[in-house]
Amino acid sequence: MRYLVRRGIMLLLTLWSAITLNFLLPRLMPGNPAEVMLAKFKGKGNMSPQAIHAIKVMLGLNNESLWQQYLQYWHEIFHWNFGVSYTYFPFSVTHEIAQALPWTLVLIGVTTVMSFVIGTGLGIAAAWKRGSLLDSSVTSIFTFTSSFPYFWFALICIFLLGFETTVFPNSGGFAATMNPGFNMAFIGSAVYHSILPAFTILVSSLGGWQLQMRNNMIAALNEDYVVLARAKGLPERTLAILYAARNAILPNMTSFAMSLGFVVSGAILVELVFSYPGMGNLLYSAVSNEDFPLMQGIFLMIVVCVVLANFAADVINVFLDPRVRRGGGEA
Amino acid sequence: MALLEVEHLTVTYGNVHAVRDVSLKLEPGEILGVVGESGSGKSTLGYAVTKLLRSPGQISAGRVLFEGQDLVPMAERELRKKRWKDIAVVMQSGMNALNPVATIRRQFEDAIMAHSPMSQTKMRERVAEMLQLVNIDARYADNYPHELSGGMKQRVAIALALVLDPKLIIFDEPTTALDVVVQRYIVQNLKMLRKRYNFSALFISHDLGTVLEIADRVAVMYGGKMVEVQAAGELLKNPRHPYTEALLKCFPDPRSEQIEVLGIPGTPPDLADLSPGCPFHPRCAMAMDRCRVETPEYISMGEAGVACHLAAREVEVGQNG
Repeated sequence: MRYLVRRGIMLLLTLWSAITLNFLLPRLMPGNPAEVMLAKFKGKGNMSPQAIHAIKVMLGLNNESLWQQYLQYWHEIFHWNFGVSYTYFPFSVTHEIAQALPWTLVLIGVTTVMSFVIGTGLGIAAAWKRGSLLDSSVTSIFTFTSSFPYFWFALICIFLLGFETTVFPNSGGFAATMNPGFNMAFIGSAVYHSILPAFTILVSSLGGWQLQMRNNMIAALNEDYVVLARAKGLPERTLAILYAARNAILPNMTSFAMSLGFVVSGAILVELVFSYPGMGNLLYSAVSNEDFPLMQGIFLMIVVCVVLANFAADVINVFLDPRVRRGGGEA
Repeated sequence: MALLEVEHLTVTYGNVHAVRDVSLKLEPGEILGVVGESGSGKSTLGYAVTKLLRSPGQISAGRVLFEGQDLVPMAERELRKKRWKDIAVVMQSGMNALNPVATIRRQFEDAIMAHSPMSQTKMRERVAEMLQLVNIDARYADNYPHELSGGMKQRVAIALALVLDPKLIIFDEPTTALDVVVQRYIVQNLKMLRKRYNFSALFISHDLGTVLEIADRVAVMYGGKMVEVQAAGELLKNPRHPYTEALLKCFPDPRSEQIEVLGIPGTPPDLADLSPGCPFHPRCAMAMDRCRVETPEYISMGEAGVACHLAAREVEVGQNG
């Protein structure tokens, strides 16, 4: 318990410093991002002082002190207000994120979980039957696929399955003729559109989990306690799961919890290649359009999610590893 | 019938011959100590007897008869029924031999459940009883291994080995990683347990002192070979093999006037090298020409035996004269 409280305090401190950095960084950059924006408008012809003033007010570019801005920033965060997007004006950053987030959460979230579950399962199986046909085939295939450059594989898939043969749509999150809504036709279309991106993500990420788990498991199988469990004549299943896999999965659980944190950032390459309407695409367009409020909003979300995922990893560890739980013994 | 009979056992790790043509016999209730330096094959022998060799180790020749049944060709499924119920293992120091993510109780219970399931209440009693045997308070049953000291873990490992009342226990360096006081305590504890449970044991250790204290007979291994077997008292008084003699000189007698510890010069042999000759000859003070070219046979003399050209000559003289 004390451990969790300590972790909780650490979490708050990390959040505070991350948000503060997120606030400070753009303001420490040379030049004022908002002035860049004004300059752009100016380039299109002279602007009246009133117009300049209007834009300044709209963007919140008044001449407050940094400290006041900081307090204001926190105030707005608590009100879930991240400002107005330049690119998608007049929509707010919150609105844009709310539009993109569900797509990413479902696509990347589901594939991350699937990839972890399947990869870990295959890793356990491969290590348990080390040297078998299953092990050598699965492991060599995954070593091969996990070294694919992701975008290359996605492009090949699009070319073969979306262009040459139009088995799957080659872009978008749903059919262009449809209006988003909570009905079977739309969900069906969304699932249909997500199959190819999901497949390419799975193919390129499964290998990592499988290889890592296989390695951990092989190391665990050589531990004295596994040999002793074998000496005890325990059923194979107990030996593989409770003794070997249960210990081997500990480091993997940590990386899994952390990878969940990165789900919100989307898979930029996947979403770009497939023109998927998720966070990755949004982030890309924010960066390429110098849309600072949107960027900041997205970065903030990513940071918060990563920090929370780290915390989740700690909590999971507490439940899975008694050595962490009682916070003592052999550190 | 002997409880355990090992016949011409050879164990290889790739081209390394860790155990070479070893034979031994263990009577019910007997404790056979196995001593030797690192790499002498003593632990490998223990794991081979229980068929727990880690890859790439494998038994390439020989038989392991347990109650007359050969364990070597036996399928793991058959063997599993004998494990722990008949043959238990205590591993080196117990430190890493307990599953770090399971409570002590759980590790007793899964052994019980795998072989002779009983009710929860009975199991609780059994675990408490076993822990008390090794002087550990029963409340520690719900602790995790890392919450126990090294000595306690080792005692838990011993209690765990006894839980199904096995006929044979393989002790692999059970006292090695512990300090001398704890070692002594565990040896005393083991002697008491042995009287009570009358198990047979293969007690593997590099510590000749500990082995002489607990074992009835002692087997000395060198370079994967059994070089001498004798009753513990005899071995101490009258070692036949020059290696045993040298080994005994490594332990000073604290009562003697001048304490002089003599090491054995040289290093253990390369186990991948299969050239003939006595494996000990490069370090042997009494090596003869014959020792370099001809591997000495292990000459069995009932309970004892020796593999040495020089000792064999003396044995012959003794028998004839």
